[in-house]
Amino acid sequence: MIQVKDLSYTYPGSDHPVLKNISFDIQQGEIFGFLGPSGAGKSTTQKVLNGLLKGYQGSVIVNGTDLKKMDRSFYEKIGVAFEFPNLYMKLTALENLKLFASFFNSATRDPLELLEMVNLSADQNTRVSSFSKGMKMRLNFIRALLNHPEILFLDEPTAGLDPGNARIMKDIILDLKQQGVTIFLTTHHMDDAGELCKRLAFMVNGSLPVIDSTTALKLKHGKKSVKVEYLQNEEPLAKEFSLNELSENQQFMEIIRTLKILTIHTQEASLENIFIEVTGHQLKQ
Amino acid sequence: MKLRTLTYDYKLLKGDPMLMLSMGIPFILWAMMQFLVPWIMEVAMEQWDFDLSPYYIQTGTFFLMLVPMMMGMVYGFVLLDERDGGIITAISVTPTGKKGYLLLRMGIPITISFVFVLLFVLILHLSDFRNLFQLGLIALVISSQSLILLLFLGAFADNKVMGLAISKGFGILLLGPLLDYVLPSPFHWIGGYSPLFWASRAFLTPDDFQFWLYTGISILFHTLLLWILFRKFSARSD
Repeated sequence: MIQVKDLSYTYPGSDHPVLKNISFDIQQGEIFGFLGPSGAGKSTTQKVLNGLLKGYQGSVIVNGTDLKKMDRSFYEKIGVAFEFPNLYMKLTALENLKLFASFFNSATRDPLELLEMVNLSADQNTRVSSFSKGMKMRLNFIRALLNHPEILFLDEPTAGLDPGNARIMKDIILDLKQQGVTIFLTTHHMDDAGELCKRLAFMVNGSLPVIDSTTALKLKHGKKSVKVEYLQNEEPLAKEFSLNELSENQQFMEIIRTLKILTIHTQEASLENIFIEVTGHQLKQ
Repeated sequence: MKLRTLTYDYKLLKGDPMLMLSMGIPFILWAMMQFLVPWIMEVAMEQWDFDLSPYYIQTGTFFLMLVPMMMGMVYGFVLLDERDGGIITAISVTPTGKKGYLLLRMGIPITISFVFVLLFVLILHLSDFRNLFQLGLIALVISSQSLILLLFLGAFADNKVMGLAISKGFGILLLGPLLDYVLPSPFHWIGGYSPLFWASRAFLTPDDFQFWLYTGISILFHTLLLWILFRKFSARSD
C-alpha cells in the first residue's frame, strides 16, 4: 500500500538532509508504527507521504500513486489526523465535520455517527473553542475518517486523552485495521505502539536503523528470565532466574514454595529500552 | 468543494465581532456619501461660500477604493486566522487543496466588492458611463484590489500579528489616487506606483480612449501583481 525507496529530503535553504535514504514497505491493513525522538524526521516523512512536501529524492508510491505524479484525487482516499488539532474554533463540532466533508467530491460518512463513536454526540452543537484538549483530539481524529480513507496517517492520536477515551480510540484504530485500512502511526507512546502496531520503524537523525515486527523486537532484545521479589525473615529480597527449565530450578521452587512472594515478573524488554539499546538515543527528547 | 462550503463562511464571520463590524463599513461609506458629504457641501457653501461640489465625485471614487481594500483585509485576516490554527494545512490534504481553498477565499471578497462598487456608482450617480460593460469592467478592476491585499497578507504574513503590521502599510496604495487629485501636473504621475491610481483615472475620465488606456494599464498591473502574489502564496509550505 505504501512503498518508499531511497527517500531523502532536504528543506529548501538547508545544507543538511532531514531524511537520508530511507526505505520501507507497508502492506494493506497493516498498522505501521513510526517511532523516534523529536526532530528525528518523523513528521517530515509523514508530510512527504501525504504529499505535502515535494522536491524529495527517491521513490514514494502511496495507494498505487507515484507521489511525483499525483493529482488532487489522491486525497479522496487518504485521511490525515495531525498531532495538533487544527479545527475551526468558531464553528461547532458538527459544523467542522460538515465543512470538511464539503471539501471532498466522494461520498462522506455521516458526521453524527462519527461523533457518536468518540462520545461527542452531546457536544455536537458546542463551539470547538470551548472544547478540552482531549475533545479536540477526538474531533480531529474522526475528521480524518470522514472520507472512508484507505490509508490513514495518525500523529500521536492518543496524546492528551484520558485512559477511557484513549481505549476507545485504540479500539477504533484496531477496528479500522480489521476493515483493511492501512495505518501509518507516528508516536512517542511506546505502549500504544506495542499494542497497535504489527511492525515498527525506529527513526534517528533521518535514518531508519531498525524496521522489524514488534514481537521479533521483543524476543530479540528481551532477557529470558523471571524476577521474584519475596520476604525472608521480614526482609524484602529479589532474585532473577533463567526461564530455561525453570520448573527444575531448585532454588526458584524453594522460594515459591516456602517464602512469601511479593511479585513475579518476566524480564521482557520494553520497547523504550529496545529503542535506546539499538539506536543509542532516548526516545523522549 | 461544494457550494455549502460558502454557508460556513458566514458562520465564521458571525463568530468574530470585529469582522462583522468591518462588513458594515460599505454601508457606512454609502451613508456618508448619501447624507454627510452633501450636508458638508451645503454648510461650506452657506457659511463660507466655498463650493465643494467639484470634489464630490473624487471623494466618492476614493470611498469606492476603500471597500475592496477593506474586504481584502477582512478576508486576509480570516486566512491568517486559519493559518494560525493550522486549517490551511488540514485543507491541503483534501481534494480541495490549498489552491481550491484560496479560490474560495478570493471569490467572496471580490464578489462582495464588485456588487458594492456597482451599487455605489449606480445609486450615487458617481459616473455617467456610456454602457454597463465599461462600468462592469472597471468595477471588476477596482474590486480585484481586494485580492491583492488578501494575497499579500497570505504570502508575506506568518501570523495575525505580522498581518496587522503589514496592513498598516496598505495605506500607501490609497495614497496613489490621492496624489493624482491634489498634485499639479506633471507631479500627479508620481501616484502611478499604485494600481489604484490607474483604476481611479479610468473611472474618472470622460474620454473613451483614455478610459481604455487606463483600464488596460490597470488590468496589466493588477494581473501581474496577482500572479506574483498567487505564486508566492502557493509556494509556502503551510
